[in-house]
Amino acid sequence: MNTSEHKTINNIQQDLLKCIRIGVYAGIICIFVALIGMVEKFNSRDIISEVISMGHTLLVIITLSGTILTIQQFRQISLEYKHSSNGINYLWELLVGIFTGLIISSILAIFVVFINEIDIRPIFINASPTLLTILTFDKDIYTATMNLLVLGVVLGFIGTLFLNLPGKLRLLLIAGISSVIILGMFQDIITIILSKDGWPKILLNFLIDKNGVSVTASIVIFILIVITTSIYPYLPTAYENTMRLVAIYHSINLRISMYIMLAITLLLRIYWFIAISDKNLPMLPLCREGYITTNATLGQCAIVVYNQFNNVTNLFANSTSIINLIITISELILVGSISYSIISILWKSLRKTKSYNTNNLSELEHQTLIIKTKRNFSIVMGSALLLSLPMLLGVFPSEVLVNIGIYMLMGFGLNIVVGNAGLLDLGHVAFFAVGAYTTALLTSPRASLELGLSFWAALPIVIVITGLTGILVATPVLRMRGDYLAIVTLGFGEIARFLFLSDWFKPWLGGAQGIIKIPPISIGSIEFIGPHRIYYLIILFALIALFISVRIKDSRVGRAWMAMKADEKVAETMGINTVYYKLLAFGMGAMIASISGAIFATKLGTIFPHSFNVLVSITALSLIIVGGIGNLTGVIIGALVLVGLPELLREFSEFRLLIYGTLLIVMMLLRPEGLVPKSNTNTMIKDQDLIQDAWVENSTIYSHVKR
Amino acid sequence: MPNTNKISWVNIILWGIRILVIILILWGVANTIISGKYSANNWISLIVAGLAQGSIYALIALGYSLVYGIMLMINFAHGEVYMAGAFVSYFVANALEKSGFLIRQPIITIVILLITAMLTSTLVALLLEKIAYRKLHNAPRIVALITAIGASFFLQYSFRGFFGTGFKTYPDFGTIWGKWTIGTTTIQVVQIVVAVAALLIMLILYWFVEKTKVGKSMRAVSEDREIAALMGINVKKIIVITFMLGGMLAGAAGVFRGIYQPQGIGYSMGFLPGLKAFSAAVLGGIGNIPGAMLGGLFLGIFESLGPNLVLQGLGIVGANQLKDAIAIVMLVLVLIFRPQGILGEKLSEEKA
Repeated sequence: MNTSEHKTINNIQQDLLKCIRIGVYAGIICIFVALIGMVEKFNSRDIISEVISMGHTLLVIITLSGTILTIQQFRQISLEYKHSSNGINYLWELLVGIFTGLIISSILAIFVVFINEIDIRPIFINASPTLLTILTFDKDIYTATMNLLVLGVVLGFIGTLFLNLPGKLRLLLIAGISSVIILGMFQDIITIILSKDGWPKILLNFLIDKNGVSVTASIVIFILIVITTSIYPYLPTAYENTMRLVAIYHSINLRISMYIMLAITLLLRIYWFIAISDKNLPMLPLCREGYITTNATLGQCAIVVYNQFNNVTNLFANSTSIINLIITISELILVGSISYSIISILWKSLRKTKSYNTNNLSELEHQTLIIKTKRNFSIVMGSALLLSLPMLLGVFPSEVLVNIGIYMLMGFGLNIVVGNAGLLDLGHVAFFAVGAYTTALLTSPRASLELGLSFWAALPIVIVITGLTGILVATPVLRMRGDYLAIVTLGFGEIARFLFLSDWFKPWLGGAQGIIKIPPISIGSIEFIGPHRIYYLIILFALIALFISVRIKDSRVGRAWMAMKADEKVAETMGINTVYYKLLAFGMGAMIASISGAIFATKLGTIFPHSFNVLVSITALSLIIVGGIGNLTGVIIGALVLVGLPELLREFSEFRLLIYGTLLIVMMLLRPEGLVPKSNTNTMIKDQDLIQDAWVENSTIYSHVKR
Repeated sequence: MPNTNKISWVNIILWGIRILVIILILWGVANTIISGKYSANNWISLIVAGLAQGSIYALIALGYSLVYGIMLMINFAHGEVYMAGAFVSYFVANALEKSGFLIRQPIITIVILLITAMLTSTLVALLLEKIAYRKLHNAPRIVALITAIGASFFLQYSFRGFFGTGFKTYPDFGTIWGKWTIGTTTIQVVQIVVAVAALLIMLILYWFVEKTKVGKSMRAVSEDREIAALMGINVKKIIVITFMLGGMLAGAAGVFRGIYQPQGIGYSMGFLPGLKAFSAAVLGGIGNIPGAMLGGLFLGIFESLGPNLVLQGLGIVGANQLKDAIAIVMLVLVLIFRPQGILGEKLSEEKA
């Protein structure tokens, strides 16, 4: 008895030490964040107007996470030693939590006193009076210190309380709070979108106050999200049931009819697009303005949709009600379902197949049908959304989307080199740059060659030249192992920039002034000027790249790459010509990047060597790693998150590379397989890849791989 | 894995590149010398400048080489370790200059600066090892390399956040010491000081690695980590010590850079020297300590002579703009001509 008690006390001492350690780390992170200027920068914006600012939110989140981590650690330890009763355990937890909060806040308090007494601004430029004001809440130093300590205790208490809530409630709270925070973070972009004509003004006024989300709006949104989250578990069932119904009623060849419908809408979209730019083209006759008629034929419907799309552009430029947009979308769905029904009936009569009486279907067939329906449904809805995004959002968000698309294209290219073939390429920007410069040289009438080709004539040449560059870069480094390859490609990226900058090539490439007057891409008389048009080009090329990537992955070439990635020597023994496949990977990666570069050049109209620095390569690398190496969904999500977020959040853009760096480290340490879980097919090979280099049996991180 | 029996077209291309490079270099050199644009004095001062710059590269390259020898990973963030030393010692140098201590005791100032920079860089290197690399000892190399790239950018942009984006300028040691004139050649004393001091530090390192017990354990670990562990060597401790040594050398390099080239101390200063020093390490034979020293010195001289001697001879306009590209081209050439470097022995499969 005596010894066990002694053990418990010992244990508690240990716990306290660990608490102190995590607390101190959290405190140091707080100071780090303050000193690099994040707190001050973030503080310019309120999450909830005049209640809490973004800078404070950041500190609160760090403190809370510190507390929660500590308590989790504490729980883990106290599992080993069984404490006498639960009640006492809770008490201890509370104590530990409050203690951690106190440690974090006292570190911050010491820091505040320190920068109040000693002016460290000559060295740490961000330790400014503004920072002091933020950390002291504009009070005198004594009150501020006390406030901070009390706040630490309160946060520790909240953290403990939060961890002891039932799981469901915790989830609801997290969802509610994080959605308010996200809304606050994105308030700029929301303001831009909502202040466009067409959206009701009242919505904007309700949501956004002077400098943040209004108090009422945040409460309303919190409640809304909590409600949605609580009914969320039932949603998939509802969705499943709807899909089941759809599948039962339209159980004919779904895919083909859906594709045809998609093609119709696409064609209409393209026609609209052309007609907008080209006044000579005849406008399709309108059946009726505005609303859909109940007895509308397919053609009439299409025309209405076409007309509505016109209105949507007006929404973009002039002013039309948001209702029009809603109508358009509902019409799109209506056109879809009508055309779909007609085609299904036609198909049925043509094929004279046995009618799919659902009662006769086996369970398996039924399931397949539902899965197909679901997929088609999401394809249709996804394409409708994808095509209408620039009109929904406006110019600035479309610009962001175009940038995302450019990086996404580059990411697809890099993914072939890094993800499929396993060759680490840090100089992808070189191919991007070569693509951009070749396009500029060929198309710009002011470039040295004075060719003035059209974009479409230049594109094949650009692709071929960049592909050859890729092969040229890869040839000398073929026999090298990953590390060298990485550094050499990095070097090539830099060399490309030096050459573009140099006086040597100035007569051809323009030196630091770059090449100007690159004409926009045009089809016929339509010119792709402005982000909301280039967006469609990007979508087109991204889809082509995606298609190539998907198809190549499991093809003979893709499997050869996979084998090479897993073990080069074995692959060679199995008859794979590694030289050829490596060059192919580099060539293809370079080609896709060159398209991205070509669009980049025409988008800006002018290119400078400074746009092509190493940070572009690092961004591309980060986005494929964060999403998961070799994972195409990962590339898309990575591009959205890593390129989209910093563009949308002014405050983040300054710390973009800091965050990328942190992300790369954290991802590699905690989740080397990336955010998006990989499909099962390739996991085995990938696992082997991981095991390959592992030396010691009890490797900690990769032990899960060995099973 | 060169398949020696088979002559593939890649081999032919590589041979073509080799011959082309040699012809180009000879052509450039011959042209320049025939044109007689530069006197012998010019060449001597260029070589001395190259030696000073090269000794800085050598110090950084040693850090790469040491870590590579033991962990078989490229510490991509090493350039940032060097930057950290230069950055922090700048503030000390600035304070010392303001107090007038620097003018009175330049040598003691340099010692103080060296100590500050070495401490800072060592601290950064140790943190790097503890936070980023320790868990990756057994990870695939690509994972370690990506972590290192992440760490590199993390450090760069943290320093940018701490100290701002502006470039700082070291106090000017060049004018304190002035120039030496030997015969008709004038040499900046700073260059001599930097080269000699760096050489001294490298000699100390060489002695440490060759003669002390810790140095022997380091060599043992780099030979075979598992067997070294079986022989009772604490591998983790040796790795930490290796990072410490690398950090110290990089810190010293940072101070020398500040003394030799006072302008342009900024958060991004570590990237290119890091890349170049890696080239130097490969040139000398990666994992090889005398190799890294030689490689650094050679690279410095190539960089200093290259634009004037070869590139101008080839008729390239603004050859000095391409100075930074020389190291990278050289890296590629080394990898084509002699992948194991000047002093490196044929690498085993595992390392190559």
